Amino acid sequence: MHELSIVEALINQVRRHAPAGGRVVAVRVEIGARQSIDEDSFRFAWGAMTASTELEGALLEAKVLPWRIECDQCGRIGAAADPLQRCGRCGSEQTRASGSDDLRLLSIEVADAVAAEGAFSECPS
Amino acid sequence: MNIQVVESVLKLNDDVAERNRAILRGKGIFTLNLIGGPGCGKTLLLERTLAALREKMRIAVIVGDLATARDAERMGAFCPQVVQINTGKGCHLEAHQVRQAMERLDLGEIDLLLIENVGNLVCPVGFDLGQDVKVGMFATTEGPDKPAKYPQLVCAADLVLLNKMDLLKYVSFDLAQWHRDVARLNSRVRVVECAAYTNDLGPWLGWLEERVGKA
Repeated sequence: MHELSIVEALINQVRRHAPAGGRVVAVRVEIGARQSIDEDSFRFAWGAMTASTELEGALLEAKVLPWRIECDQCGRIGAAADPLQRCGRCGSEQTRASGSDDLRLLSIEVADAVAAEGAFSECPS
Repeated sequence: MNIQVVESVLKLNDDVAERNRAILRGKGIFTLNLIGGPGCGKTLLLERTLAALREKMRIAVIVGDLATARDAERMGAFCPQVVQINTGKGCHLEAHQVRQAMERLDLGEIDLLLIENVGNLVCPVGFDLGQDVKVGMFATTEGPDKPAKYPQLVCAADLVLLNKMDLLKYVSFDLAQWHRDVARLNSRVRVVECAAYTNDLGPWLGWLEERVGKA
């Protein structure tokens, strides 16, 4: 359950980047294939650890990147969720897997942001 | 409003790890992060390693476990500088814990720092501690499918050990399949078969000595 540690880090990171007064409605995260993160545990930890906080209800959008599978037999380069999947073209097991180990917060969606100063200056009085 | 961030979620851990790395390299210390499942033989391997190399280099150990100081007591018999980290319920070591342990070591008196991570094939992989190399450890008694089931460790490792080769004849283990899976997951990784119990460490000690010599 290192997903708890990761969600804890993510919550702190979101708080650092979210503007004061803004309600966070969605958090977009990219998970490289080489990250050992169980998506269900990740979502469960996010829900549990944001409950009763200002982040409660914020949607966690996690995109898991696939493995890159290179076939030594036919040279095909494909993508797969399983790093030991056979080549999608020739069926060979002579493949090499690689993938990203990035785990990145991409963006934060914020609603009800505090209006910037002067935003209503053109409003007729 | 959409706020673009694009930043590592583990940035705080990574930052501490980078500082650890800078401190350790600044002292000329070669640092190894040993990751493997519970019972694969990590502690015995390190005991054998300490016994074999302690006359040749100054070695320190940081060992992580959920509870007890038993591993530190075992390795303390071979090495004056051992720090036990008890993670409580934590399933992996993080960079700040290693930093705290480093503060209890005399870094000026170390050539090789061995970090034995919490016994776990999954969680420790993603947390940089500031090491120079990660070593992934498996054992024949775990069955041959562990690399396939835990590919992230194989991909992250600079060297993969297969321990308990002395027990190979007693277990059902397809050695060729194990090697094939490891090679498909990480075509560049160095693989070493060993048997810590019978003190047959293969090229492990030579590999370590060569790395420490370059640190």
